[in-house]
Amino acid sequence: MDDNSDRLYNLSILEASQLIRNRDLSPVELTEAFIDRIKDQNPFLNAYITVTEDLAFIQARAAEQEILSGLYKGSLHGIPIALKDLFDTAGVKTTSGSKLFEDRIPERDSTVAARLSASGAVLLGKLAMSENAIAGTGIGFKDPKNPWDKAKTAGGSSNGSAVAVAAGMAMATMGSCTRGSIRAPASFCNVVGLKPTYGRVSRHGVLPLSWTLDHVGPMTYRVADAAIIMEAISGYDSNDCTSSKNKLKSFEMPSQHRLDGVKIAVPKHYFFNKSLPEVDSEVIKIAEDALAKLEQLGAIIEDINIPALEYADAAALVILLGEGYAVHQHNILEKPKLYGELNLLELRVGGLFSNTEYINAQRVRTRLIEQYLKALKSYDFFVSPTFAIAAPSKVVPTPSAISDMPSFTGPYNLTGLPAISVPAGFTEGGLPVGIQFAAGYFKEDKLLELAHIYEQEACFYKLRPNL
Amino acid sequence: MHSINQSGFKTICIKAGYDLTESEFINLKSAFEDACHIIQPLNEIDLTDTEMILKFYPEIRTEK
Repeated sequence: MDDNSDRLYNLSILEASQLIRNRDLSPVELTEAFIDRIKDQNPFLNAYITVTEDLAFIQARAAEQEILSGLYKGSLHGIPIALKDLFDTAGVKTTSGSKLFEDRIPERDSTVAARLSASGAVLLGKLAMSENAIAGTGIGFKDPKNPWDKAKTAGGSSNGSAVAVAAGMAMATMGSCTRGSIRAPASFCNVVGLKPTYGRVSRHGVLPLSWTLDHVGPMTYRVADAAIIMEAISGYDSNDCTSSKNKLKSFEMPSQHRLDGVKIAVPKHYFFNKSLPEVDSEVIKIAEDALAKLEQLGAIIEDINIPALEYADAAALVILLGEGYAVHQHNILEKPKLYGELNLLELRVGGLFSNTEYINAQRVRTRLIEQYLKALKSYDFFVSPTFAIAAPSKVVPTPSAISDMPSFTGPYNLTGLPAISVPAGFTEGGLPVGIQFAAGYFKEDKLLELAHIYEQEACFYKLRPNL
Repeated sequence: MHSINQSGFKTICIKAGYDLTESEFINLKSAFEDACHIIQPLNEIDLTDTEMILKFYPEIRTEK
């Protein structure tokens, strides 16, 4: 574990923003600490595809001048962040981790990039990812390494985003998530990963994979930091036809760290099924410990049945790869050599599903939504392990989309419900494991409050990898 | 494990417009069989009363 807790790169956004606002810390000094850390660690961890050092210092110096002039923009002013390399950034290469787009330089910012920039955040660079946000490593790209054990995968597809936060190479990052691509790498790397409600955060200017499953969200060191990012990026965007006008309620730091009377549902038949060989019993034990902590805090935990969960993996696979193929059809037929082997294989599978299979997958999804909505009449939250296993060996470079392993994150992409992964413990082998909380539609404020209270009780965020 | 008839699989690959080498064909057939195994529950569930209506709550499009 890292004992350099006094280093600037180990601060949370909440801590750094207070120092910056009080003029006890310069955004330039903070940016310098992160650029130095990137230079020190990125050659070993491969989290960044592009480091925007010059731009970062221009933005940091501008932030410093604005703050000295009394123009403090808020908690992200002067805070160094980075974006998964599928968020368009004007004038900065955006590759989607794919040879198809290796030289692509967008003319305009994605809505998220523009909003973070308007909040005064400093862009450190663009982050590595699974090829086209599916699986595998793009031709000519490097696979990020897990800072807790470089022989293990950092997950996918927002792996660079998770590694950058875990290794102190960014205070916050943005990821995208179609079936778990924010929460899974967060779980593998001991960071927080939030997938907001479908429609909460604009996807305009984000290279798509699956229009009905894609979400974007923050990855951070602390839960409160994710809340700060959400304040900046949420809100209606006329450029995204799925964008909601529902207003984000501000996260307020709870005065008491108690959960008295909070009702939490646990569909154990799906998320705690120890009989499945693909599920690691050590992960289940850590999740059970987390449930016990929640009960000690006063929460009422009840086992419930959501029958459609048994069909969720089948539905998610057809929709993800079916829509993914539709996105990539032209390039797959015309430029197949620009795809990595695994990426091409899985997208081609998506092109072979039938209309009936796709439609039935969407019908299953409708049923899943109905059953979750029914449960939400009686319960405030859902809890489960984030992923069925801790980070696996890099022999499998990034998890394949076609897998027998149950996806614990996928149901919340299918339903569109907000869900967050929070560090929950470590295996005997020293690998991090996350716990997943989900809430009702547009209840990010309540979800973050629960996650924050759990985080304060569990305190696993305090552990940083020894690099 | 689902085993798919070789000539039938070749037909659907041609229909999809895929131009495959022999090894790509073998790998794709194997991956598709794995996928068919995973999605088999879609063929077993009774969806009689379930339409394909994706209605997130509150309805996103009607808010505009």
